[in-house]
Amino acid sequence: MDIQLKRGLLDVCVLTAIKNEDSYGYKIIKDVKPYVEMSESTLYTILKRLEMAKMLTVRTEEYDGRLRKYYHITRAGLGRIEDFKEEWSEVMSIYQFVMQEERKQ
Amino acid sequence: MNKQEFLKKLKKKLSVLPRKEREERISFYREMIDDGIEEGFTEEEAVVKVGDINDVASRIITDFLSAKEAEKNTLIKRKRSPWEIVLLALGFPLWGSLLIAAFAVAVSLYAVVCSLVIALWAVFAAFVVCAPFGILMGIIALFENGYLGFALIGGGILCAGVSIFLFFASISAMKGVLKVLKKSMTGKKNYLYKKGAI
Repeated sequence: MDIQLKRGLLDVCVLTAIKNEDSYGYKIIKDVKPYVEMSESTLYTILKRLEMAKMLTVRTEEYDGRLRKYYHITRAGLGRIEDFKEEWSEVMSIYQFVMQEERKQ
Repeated sequence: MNKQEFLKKLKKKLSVLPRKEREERISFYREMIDDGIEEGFTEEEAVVKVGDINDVASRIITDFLSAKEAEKNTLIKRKRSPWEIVLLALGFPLWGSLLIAAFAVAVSLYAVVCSLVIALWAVFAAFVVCAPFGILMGIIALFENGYLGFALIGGGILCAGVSIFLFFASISAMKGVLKVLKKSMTGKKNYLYKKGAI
């Protein structure tokens, strides 16, 4: 897959994983696993990128005597998901056109 | 390999990274392994789940380098390095005098063109002044010497005629020069804009 496209999709995946409630690294990987395989270092890079883009915020909380980082989606992050939904309906309609023409052959 | 061992080895392998970046990466993996253990995996299993340590380390380093590269690419406005500034300052006697010379040449060119227009206006003014004087002196001279008087009156009328032509000539010359000046000024400005100087 095109690397730029894949990066964008993974961003939306991670944002969706923290959309309904704040989450942490291990849980994010587990939640997206049925849809996409994501390594720890990949996740780290995505989280960093999203934090830089102010699409999420990070807080460190004590949990069971150790520290854990929680990720919280921002308004910009929610906007990114909405943009994705809009863009993707366009992509889907193009896909349908491609398949329809394919069948005609 | 247990958690401590894994993290210690990882730290060693990531020694090329800046300290802050390294610490952050390691605490990220520590958290991952701890969460794996909490989910019910043994410590060994949780470490294995994170992946082969060499793969992890090399991926982190390539990630870090590509992020660095991307960061560099987004910084379009490059800062001048201290060395460049020092060289610019040291070179001032050279490029400074060249700049002043170029500026002086440009100013003198403008001055030459402008003085042509001014000269034209001066000639016009001379003719304008001469016309009434010629006629006046001619009338006075008529009483003493008819030929001289008529010649002077004729000269005055001639001056008036020529001055009308000169008036239009100087006006159009001034307009033309102003147009050229304006164009060259904006042209210079645009050039500077393009260079990013303004």
